[in-house]
Amino acid sequence: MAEIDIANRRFSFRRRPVPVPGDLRIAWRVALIMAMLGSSRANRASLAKLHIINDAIRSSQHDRLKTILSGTHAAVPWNLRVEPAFARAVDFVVGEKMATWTKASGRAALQLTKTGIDAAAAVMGVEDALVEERVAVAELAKLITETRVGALLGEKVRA
Amino acid sequence: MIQLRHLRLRSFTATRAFGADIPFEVGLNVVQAPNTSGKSTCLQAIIYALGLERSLGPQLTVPLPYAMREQIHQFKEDPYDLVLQSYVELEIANAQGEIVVLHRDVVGDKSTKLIQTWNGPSLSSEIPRGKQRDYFVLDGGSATNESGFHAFLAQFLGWDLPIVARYDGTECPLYLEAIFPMLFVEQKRGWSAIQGPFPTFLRIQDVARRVMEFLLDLETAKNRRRRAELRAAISDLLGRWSDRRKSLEEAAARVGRIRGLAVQPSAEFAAAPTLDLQLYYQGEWIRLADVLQIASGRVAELEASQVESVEQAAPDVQARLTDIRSQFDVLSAVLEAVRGEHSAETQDNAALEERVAALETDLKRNQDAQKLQRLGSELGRAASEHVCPTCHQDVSNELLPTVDSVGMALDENIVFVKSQLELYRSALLNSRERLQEIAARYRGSERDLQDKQQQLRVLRQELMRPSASPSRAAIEEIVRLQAFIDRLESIDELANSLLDELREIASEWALATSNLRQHPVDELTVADKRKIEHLQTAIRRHLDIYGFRSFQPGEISLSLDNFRPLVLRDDNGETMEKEIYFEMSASDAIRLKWAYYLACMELMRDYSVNHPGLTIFDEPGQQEVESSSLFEFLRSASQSAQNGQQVLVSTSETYETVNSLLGDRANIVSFAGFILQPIETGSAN
Repeated sequence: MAEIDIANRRFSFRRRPVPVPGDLRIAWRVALIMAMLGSSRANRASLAKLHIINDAIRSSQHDRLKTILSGTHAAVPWNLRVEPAFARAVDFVVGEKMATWTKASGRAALQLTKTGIDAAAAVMGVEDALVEERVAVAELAKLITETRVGALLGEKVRA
Repeated sequence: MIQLRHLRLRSFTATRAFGADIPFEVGLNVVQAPNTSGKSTCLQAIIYALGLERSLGPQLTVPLPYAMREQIHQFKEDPYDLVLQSYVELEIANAQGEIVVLHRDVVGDKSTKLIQTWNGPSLSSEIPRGKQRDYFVLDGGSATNESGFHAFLAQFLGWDLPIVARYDGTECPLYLEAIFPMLFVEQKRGWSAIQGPFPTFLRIQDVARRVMEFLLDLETAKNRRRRAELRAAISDLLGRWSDRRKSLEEAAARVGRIRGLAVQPSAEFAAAPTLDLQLYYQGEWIRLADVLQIASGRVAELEASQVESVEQAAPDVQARLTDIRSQFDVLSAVLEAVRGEHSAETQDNAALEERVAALETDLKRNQDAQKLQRLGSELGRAASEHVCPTCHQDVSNELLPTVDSVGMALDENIVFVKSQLELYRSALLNSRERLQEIAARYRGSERDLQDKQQQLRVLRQELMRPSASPSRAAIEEIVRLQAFIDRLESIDELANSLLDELREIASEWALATSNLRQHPVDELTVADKRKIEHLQTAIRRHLDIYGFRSFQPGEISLSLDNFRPLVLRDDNGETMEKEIYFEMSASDAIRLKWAYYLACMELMRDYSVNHPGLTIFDEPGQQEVESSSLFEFLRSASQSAQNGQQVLVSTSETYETVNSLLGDRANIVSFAGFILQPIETGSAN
């Protein structure tokens, strides 16, 4: 192999783009959040609830979560992992004015705005993307009430 | 072919019977009557008698006016009488000259889903009714079931209805309801489109194209069907191949491994099927046939040798004992190693499986993200343009935690994941193969080990027997070898029978694949194009006669996609085909419809088509089209209707005009007032 004269050459470095997991794509995650809020009652859900659904979807454990929620296996624990990327995506959603901060059952919650409702409808209308996710989100969002959020997070139910 | 011979309407009140009898002849038939007197009733009664009302729309109401359903009177000023019973009867004939009478109740005891038929011309010639048969319509299976009326009608017309695809991915026959709008122009909506309008509730894909292909009997439709059949056959063969291949692999795995059996059938395999069944035998992979040979050779050798006494054989037995014992130790060590290898490979395999699954999920999500980009700014600018909505900085690192890295662009990322996936998938495939081989080797070594163990036992016992008795070691070896050979042979036999089946599948597959290649892709054949050209010329000729003025008739051409008329326009020096609907005057749209329908029917004279040779126009004088044009249309309709073809037209032009125009060239059925008039109750059946 011919030797390359390195000493008398100019170097330039360029940062190579790194691969991004699909669930860290803004479009994917924002669409997912839209679907979650859009499927929730009154287009509103607490941040805790969103975190729970997000975690279940990402780790493909929505079936397990459903079993827990169905109440037949009362003692199955649910370990919630909080994901920083999700929080960033929520910031984008709020920044784009698709949702606003509000309160639900004493917890911080997100409420879809008019733009947000349209966006959620658009996401639900896409036929070939997020197929499984949308089904799971629609089911979970209905099942997880704000009271159940408390139970899942291990709060004592107030008498 | 279908020919209408006689239509009978009956409507009974408590005191009187109303009715109309309309004889039809071959050629042009004109039903002439003033407005609101029942012309449409007559024509719609034909649809109703044929059970085809759903070609007008999905509703199940009877497409007939009050006079046949609820109340009736003789003159406009008379009070209404309640209809207690009413029915429609139609006599039709086909190309073979068979004649049947159809009877369907409108109001009465019998279900409106029932159509009764009698053989013979009992309406037109008052002869006694022939054999009766009942059919049903509107319920599921009416087009396919033996007692479904449309199945009967299709058979009566000599139609072999093509199977077509629906929007939901299923298939259905091309229902008669879909075809009929090309034969019957209904007054209210029928004139709104050049073709059809076709009913959409049947959910047939490309319905216009399918109907036209069928009516014009184009080869492309048959080719498409043939291709679909071939594709189904091929996928079935592939399924059977992989099924047989799996059972062969399983059988082989009991003793060894199989080499050179492709995942998919090939022509080469069909010509010369080869199969390499290998056995792990004494530390190496050997072909089954060779193992068999070695074993049988050994048996022959043992059989040929003299039976020695234990004393004579003792030194030999002693030596063999030592030899086998050391072999046994080696084999035990090997087996342990193979077991270790197997568990390592299993772990590798599991890791690879997990990795492939994770990559597949990731690919799916990235692809979803790509599809979601279609929503554009709907999901906000951060998602579509990668600009932060608050600080307007670049966010091309997506949601990655580290600030200083740049995320790959989506397309690039998808390619990247795909290439990784490819790599891991092939690694997984290799790993699976290795795992199988290790398992086979393990089984082979284990078998060897057992074999040796047995031999050791036999030899030890041999040494303890009385020295004068005959040595049994040789005999026992023969028995053991024979059992081994039997097992191998049974597997060989199974493999051979499966090989025959595989060869058959491969040759069928090769045949189907080459047939599929020979069938042209979804394109019109030369013969088809000739038909379409002929149709186009005929349409232009008709347009010329009818005084079509929106374009030069020569500018009208037919789309090769769904055979709708297009106009050839000069667009910046290029000739372009354009849709016509909005550029045409309303009356010219009517002229084009006349021309299109008559030309389609005329095609029968020169080509073999499925058109039944019947066209019905309900009030063709639409959109105040000039009388002169209408007369030209009637005149050419009377010419079109040759060779046993039939055109039915209803009109409210006066009898004098129609008669002076057509004279004896048409069967004019004229009514001065309401078409349904009181009749002698005696003549009603």
